[in-house]
Amino acid sequence: VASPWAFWEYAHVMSAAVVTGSFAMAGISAYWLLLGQHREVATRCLRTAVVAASIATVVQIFPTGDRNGKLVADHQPATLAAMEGLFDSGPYAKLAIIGQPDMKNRRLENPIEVPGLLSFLAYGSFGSTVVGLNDIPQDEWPDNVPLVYYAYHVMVGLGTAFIALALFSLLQVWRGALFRQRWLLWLWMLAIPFPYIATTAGWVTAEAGRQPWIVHGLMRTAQGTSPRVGTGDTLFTLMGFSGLYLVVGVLFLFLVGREIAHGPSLAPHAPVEGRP
Amino acid sequence: MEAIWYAVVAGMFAVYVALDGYDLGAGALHLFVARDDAERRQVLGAIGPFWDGNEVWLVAGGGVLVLAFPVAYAVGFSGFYLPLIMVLWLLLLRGLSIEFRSHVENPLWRSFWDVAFALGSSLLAVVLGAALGNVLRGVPIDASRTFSLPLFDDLLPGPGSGVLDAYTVLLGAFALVLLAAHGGAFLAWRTTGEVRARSLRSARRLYVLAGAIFPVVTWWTLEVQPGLPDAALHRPLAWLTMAIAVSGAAGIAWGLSRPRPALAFGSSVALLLGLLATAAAASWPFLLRSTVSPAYDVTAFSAGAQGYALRVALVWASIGLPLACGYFVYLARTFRVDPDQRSDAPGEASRRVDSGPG
Repeated sequence: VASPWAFWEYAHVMSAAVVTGSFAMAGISAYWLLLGQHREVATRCLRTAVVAASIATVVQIFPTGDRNGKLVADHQPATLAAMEGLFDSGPYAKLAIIGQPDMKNRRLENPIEVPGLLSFLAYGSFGSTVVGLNDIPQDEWPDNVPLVYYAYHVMVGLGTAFIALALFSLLQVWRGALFRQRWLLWLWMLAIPFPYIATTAGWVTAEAGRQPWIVHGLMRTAQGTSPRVGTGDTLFTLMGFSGLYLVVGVLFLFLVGREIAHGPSLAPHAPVEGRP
Repeated sequence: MEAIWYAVVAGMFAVYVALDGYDLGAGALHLFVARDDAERRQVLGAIGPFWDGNEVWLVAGGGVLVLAFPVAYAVGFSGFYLPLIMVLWLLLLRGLSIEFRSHVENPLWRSFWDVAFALGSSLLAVVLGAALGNVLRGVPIDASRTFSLPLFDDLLPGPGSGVLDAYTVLLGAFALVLLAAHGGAFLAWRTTGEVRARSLRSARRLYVLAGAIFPVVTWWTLEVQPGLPDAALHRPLAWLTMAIAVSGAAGIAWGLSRPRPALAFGSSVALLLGLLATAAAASWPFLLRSTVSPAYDVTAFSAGAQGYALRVALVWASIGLPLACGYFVYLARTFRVDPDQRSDAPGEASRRVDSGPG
């Protein structure tokens, strides 16, 4: 519990939750404003949500995301290499903005890269050497390198886009122009699902990225399975969970849709009796 | 040190049963004691502020088990993989029922979740009893220090029986009756009007039924595990817990006949804690007995964690547990029943009070 990583991971997850919450709030407010409904509430909510999103999206990348990245670089070099799609070790390591890992030829296809930036982000100086996958035994690579790579890039790409949207909107709020710009409201409305996707991608990055270890460097995931639980049993429960979550997900969309259509309830909540 | 942690683990699971037991019981009963929407909301309102907090005791109990007796946790959780996942599903279903029900006014929607809630609650009560049955009976741990168990076999207790055999099913039924009575006592205490009257009636009948089954349960337990009474009679602590259980039973009879439901419920808590503590005291030091050979028994000594971790954890537990208990007392006092306002009690009041039952 006292591990320094725990704090930064926790902070990263919590600020992700604020991003998701503020984007949902802003998106629904934008939807109402575009329809011309509930103007007063929607204006107030959108303004609050944009301020919250501006703070949370920045905190998400710096310091929390940055610190998590440095911890990965220090403790799980194979994970870092997989996240970045880095095959060759060396100083002035390039940061891949976009590109498709080609596992067979061990290179990144169609890359757009920024030279040296990965070295700087991971270790604080452009000349630092970053270890690539080629210098790591293949049985210590994460089992699914492309999955880790894409999950990480989806997360970071969306996170960067969130900052741009939030800060630009903050500027417009400050100028008093946000509520006149319908295209910006459209963007907010359409942005609702993306924090969910970014958060899920971040989770996948962490969980797929730490493979093949269940306790890093000490115990492999394959050694940690229950010896007497059959694959039939686990398939059964996996299907059960999938079905259950599918149902709950559909119900969630149904209920949230109802609430949005219903509009804000301005009546103050009834006081809960017994409260001191 | 092992004994302290054995007591902590047993105590936490017992507290879980006593606390979550009343909201499970209330769920099992609510179709019968609450007939229309307003009455059902009264039941949900009565357990509303508490049920999820109560369930945390189960999670915390599991957490303490893994801390203090990692071997028992590993053996038990992989051996009982399927049943435990099903418990999880039932808990999910039940939580969803409570949360979703109030969001849509359609009577079919509400009926659906009411039945799901009753079903989830009842089955969980049965499962808790059957789980206790498995722990008392033992499981086929072999030389690999693991076991796997089918859900059910020929239902006859004895070698080769599954998770559910006649004995564990009987304990499950007993748990359902006793927890339903427990929930009835709770509802009689914290509701008003018709619901209160029906709960009181149900509680009376169910306690009598539980009293009738109890001798059978005891007899069969001694058949399955003949060493228990000897162990219990030689331990002063077991005498104390038995005394608590007996006084609990007396308090229930007294509290239900007056009627003073608060006393009855408090006594019911004492009865449950007393019974479970007696079972734990008589079973010491066994955490999970092997039906294959005594050599493979998982005991508090063979399953224990390192002494250092336990000593550190003891310090934290002695800070954390009083905090948790204090919070529960605070919660119970905060949501104390005010007879005039009980119809829109807190559980749902925080959601949608404006949309009445239509």
